[in-house]
Amino acid sequence: MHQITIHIGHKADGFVFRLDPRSEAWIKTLTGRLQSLPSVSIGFDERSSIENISNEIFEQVAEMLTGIDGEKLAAMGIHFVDARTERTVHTI
Amino acid sequence: MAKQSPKAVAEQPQKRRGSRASLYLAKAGHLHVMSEFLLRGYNVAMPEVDIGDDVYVVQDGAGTLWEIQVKTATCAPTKSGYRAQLRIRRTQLIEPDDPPLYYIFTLPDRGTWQPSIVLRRSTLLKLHETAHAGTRAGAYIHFTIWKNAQGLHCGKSDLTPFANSWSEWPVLEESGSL
Repeated sequence: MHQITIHIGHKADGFVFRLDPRSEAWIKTLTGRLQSLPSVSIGFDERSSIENISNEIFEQVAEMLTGIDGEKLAAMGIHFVDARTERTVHTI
Repeated sequence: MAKQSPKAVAEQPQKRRGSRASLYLAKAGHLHVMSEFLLRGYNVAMPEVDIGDDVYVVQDGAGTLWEIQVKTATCAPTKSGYRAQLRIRRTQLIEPDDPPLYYIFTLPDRGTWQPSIVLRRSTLLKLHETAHAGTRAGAYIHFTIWKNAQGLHCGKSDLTPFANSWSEWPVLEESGSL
């Protein structure tokens, strides 16, 4: 099973999420269609850390980026990687 | 103080010249890119302290902002064109962005400029990960650009479509007098 990786970028008021290109290519092969969105940005009223992002938000972001619903995603395994450190900070 | 060998002493001025030359080269690349944007009618700014995003481009009035990172690589002549090498830190390349960051590779070649290569960060990452552009070496990804009769390439990736690809910044009407 191919590991799906989503990179997390940092903004002043939040974070930007984007599928790793290899994961994107694999999902296209698997589903035969483009993912729903190339990137997803989220913002907070106050500066926040990745640890404050809830599991529900991670799931919604993954669904928007892949176009695959939550139950199927959980079976695949999604790794969220902080692009600055290349460390996995969350998994589904 | 430790005594230096004649060879080490002789090499010092040359090293300083080399370091200074690279600063001049980088600044030439920045100004070359800024000039292109100004001719197209876009305002430009450079951070007082260089932290990676080299040039900010702004469409006055609309307030649209682009972040630009300029990479300047001297062309080494080959039989049918040239070769140029540059590197980008991997953690910078994989970072998703909003607003998008664009890389512009400026290519000085024996006193003139070759067409610049203009592409989004996400596009370059895609070329690297799925089309064999660039090779990883530690924390960096090294890109070797080849120009020959077949076009412009990096690894197995065709960069020809990105040569002077300024379509993201169409010439603004109010800059027509330029």
